[in-house]
Amino acid sequence: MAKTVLITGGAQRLGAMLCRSFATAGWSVWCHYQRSGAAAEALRASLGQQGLLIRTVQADLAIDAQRQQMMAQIVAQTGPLHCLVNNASSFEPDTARDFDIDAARQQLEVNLLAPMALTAAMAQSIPASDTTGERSVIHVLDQKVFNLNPDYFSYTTSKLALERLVALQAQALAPQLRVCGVAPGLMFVSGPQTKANFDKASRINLLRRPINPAQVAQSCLFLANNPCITGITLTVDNGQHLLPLPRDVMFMVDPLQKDGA
Amino acid sequence: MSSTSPPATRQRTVLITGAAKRLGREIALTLAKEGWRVAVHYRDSVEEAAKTVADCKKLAGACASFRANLASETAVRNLLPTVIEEFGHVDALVNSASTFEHDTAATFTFAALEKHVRSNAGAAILLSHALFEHLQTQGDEARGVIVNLLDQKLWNPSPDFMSYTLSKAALEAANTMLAIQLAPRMRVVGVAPGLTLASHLLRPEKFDSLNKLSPLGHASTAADVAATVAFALNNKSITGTTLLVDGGQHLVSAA
Repeated sequence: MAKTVLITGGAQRLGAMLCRSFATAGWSVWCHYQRSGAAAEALRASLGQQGLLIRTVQADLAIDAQRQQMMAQIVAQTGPLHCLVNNASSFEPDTARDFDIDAARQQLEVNLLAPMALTAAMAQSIPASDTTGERSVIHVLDQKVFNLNPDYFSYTTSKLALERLVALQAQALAPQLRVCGVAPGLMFVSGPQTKANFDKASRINLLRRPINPAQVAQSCLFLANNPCITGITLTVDNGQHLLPLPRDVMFMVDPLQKDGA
Repeated sequence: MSSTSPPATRQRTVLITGAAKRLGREIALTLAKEGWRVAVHYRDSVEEAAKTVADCKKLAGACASFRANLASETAVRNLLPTVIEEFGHVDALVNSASTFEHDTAATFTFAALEKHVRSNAGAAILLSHALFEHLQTQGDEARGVIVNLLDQKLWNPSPDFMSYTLSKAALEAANTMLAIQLAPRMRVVGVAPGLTLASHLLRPEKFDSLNKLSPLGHASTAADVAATVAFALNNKSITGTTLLVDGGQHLVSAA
């Protein structure tokens, strides 16, 4: 029987790439979405047509009752998950000096508390005797947790906590669950970016070329399959984390740097 | 030397140090299975190296062994040119050979430190730069990759194996520095196993009991480490970082 994976925020961008990579590798995929119902359905139809296994599930990850209901539905329909990829992120510009407390709470809820709650629900669904190393949780982080700049302050705070959560959950949930992180760099046009800005910013890394999201998805798949790896974060960022910048990379390219807050 | 791009069909070639035995041999077999031509470096293990070569040949068709003492700078500087002479080109380097002898602060000597740093860090740095210079002759588009075998104990230190650990700490720092200096032509990735195989300093019974102490109930198998090396060689977006493959051993105190 195929192994099952839940990918949060699976309808678009890296999430869609993750759904495609896991499904192509023979996994049975649950694609979570919140507002991107049409994109999720299009992805389901496209992968389904190729004979791949994919289901969609809707939930607002900021609401605990919806998180719990989603996990209950998944376990009821396809059994305990083999892998959970916490990919969904809330990403809003703010600063240390004047962040909005409600916007900060919302980002911590989606980026930190939701991964904590979904992981706990997954752990509770797995029998204590299941210690083969084949079940895992993967948190999608950001290379900036190893290369700080003060832009996107609340978002960054949530990802910093999530990075420490990798080791903490790995300690707490072994040997039933492995817990790993994957920290990509800039992969898609983000926030206020224009395509022209992205084309320049995406080459600001050691390898001087854009990061291929498929390689990031392959890294998640590798971590899901290797039974010996737990408690670590893999940076998949063309070496962006070794290039310190005073601000987010999108503000280091001329046109936005002038406009940047 | 021609500066045209290498043909897409050219067979990938990797030099693996310390590939006659143990983990290096497992990495050699895994990469040969993926179609790599393998240059098997060894120091004294003549028979084991011949067996690794024979086994890789069955899988990939081309394989040869190269003898060198990695503590000798001259021998290290001569190694890659000899491999290039045999295979024509080299695309990747796996620094797997390790000198591994016991000492602590109480028994530490300059001689022990120098011995470990020479072969475990110095040789890796010289070979990495030699590969970089070789790839510069292979056209603007030629890209290469280096994997350095580290040790989870860098993230979970204990006072044992002082000189060995210092040499691996130096290699870990070199991993980052080389990733920066040799980019964008080369990627440089660390792979840090935990307890993987019993050794001359660790008998099988003791190995089994230590292995079970890892959070996952097992540290790392040689096959899982070799698969991780193959992954690091193949994934073109990873550089300047280290993958720990240790069953979570670094998460529990060793001290």
